[in-house]
Amino acid sequence: MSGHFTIFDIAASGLSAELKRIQVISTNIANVNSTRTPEGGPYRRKDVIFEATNIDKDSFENILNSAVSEEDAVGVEVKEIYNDPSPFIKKYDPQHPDADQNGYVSYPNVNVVTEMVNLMNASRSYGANVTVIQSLKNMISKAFDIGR
Amino acid sequence: MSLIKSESLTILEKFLDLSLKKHSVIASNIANANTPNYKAREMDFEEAFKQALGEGEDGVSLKTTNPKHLSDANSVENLSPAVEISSAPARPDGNNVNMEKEMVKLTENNITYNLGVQLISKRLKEIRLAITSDRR
Repeated sequence: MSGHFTIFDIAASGLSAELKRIQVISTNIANVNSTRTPEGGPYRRKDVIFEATNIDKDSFENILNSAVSEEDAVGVEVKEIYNDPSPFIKKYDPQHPDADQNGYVSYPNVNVVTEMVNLMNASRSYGANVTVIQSLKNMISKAFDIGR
Repeated sequence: MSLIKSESLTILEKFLDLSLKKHSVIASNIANANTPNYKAREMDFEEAFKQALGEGEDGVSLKTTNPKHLSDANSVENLSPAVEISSAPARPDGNNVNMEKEMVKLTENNITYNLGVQLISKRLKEIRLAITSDRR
């Protein structure tokens, strides 16, 4: 009878993964014009990789219930944050201190429109997971009323 | 068949159990709406339930001529409908979760669960009525 709480865990994993994604997107947008980074060179766009994972597969309950594995119910986690290898955007600006010998400045490979679309997608997905939690809360409180 | 542990309660219990399981399948789909190569999972417990209760598409159920024959409640109790991987066309990232469909299924399943809860409450009220009806 761990059903209820598995669903909470799944939705929570969705919330935290989407929040991480929003964090990365906001980093990208904030650094859309950063031509200098501690590693040297302009800022490189970052993105997340999501992976479907079995929710606490090592927990006591799951080992106990290993016969009825919850393989069908999986959460999500941010597997990796990677640097987008696409080329930097070059702009001609010979006055700029970071301009190369031909007068071109490398700007981060961030496209604000792409980031905004991803941001909207992420916040919608976040909202969907919130809806799952609310609907489950409603179901549980209904179940408490059995026999009343 | 005793009064309290009646057949209908067993069936309704299983109904709630399965509908909760379905909720977790929908929750996984929603959580993984942006996971590359994730394929949506589907669980049609209502259909399996109907079949176990002998209300298949042909509307014919097995006859029990002996009390030792397995009853409907027995076949429902051991019901574990398969979770299927959806074969819907995938997006370019290999994911085929349809968010709108999942949200509708979520609401639907929420209502289905509430229905089960109401039916159990009704059944318990009937039992209570049977117990107390001579005290009026």
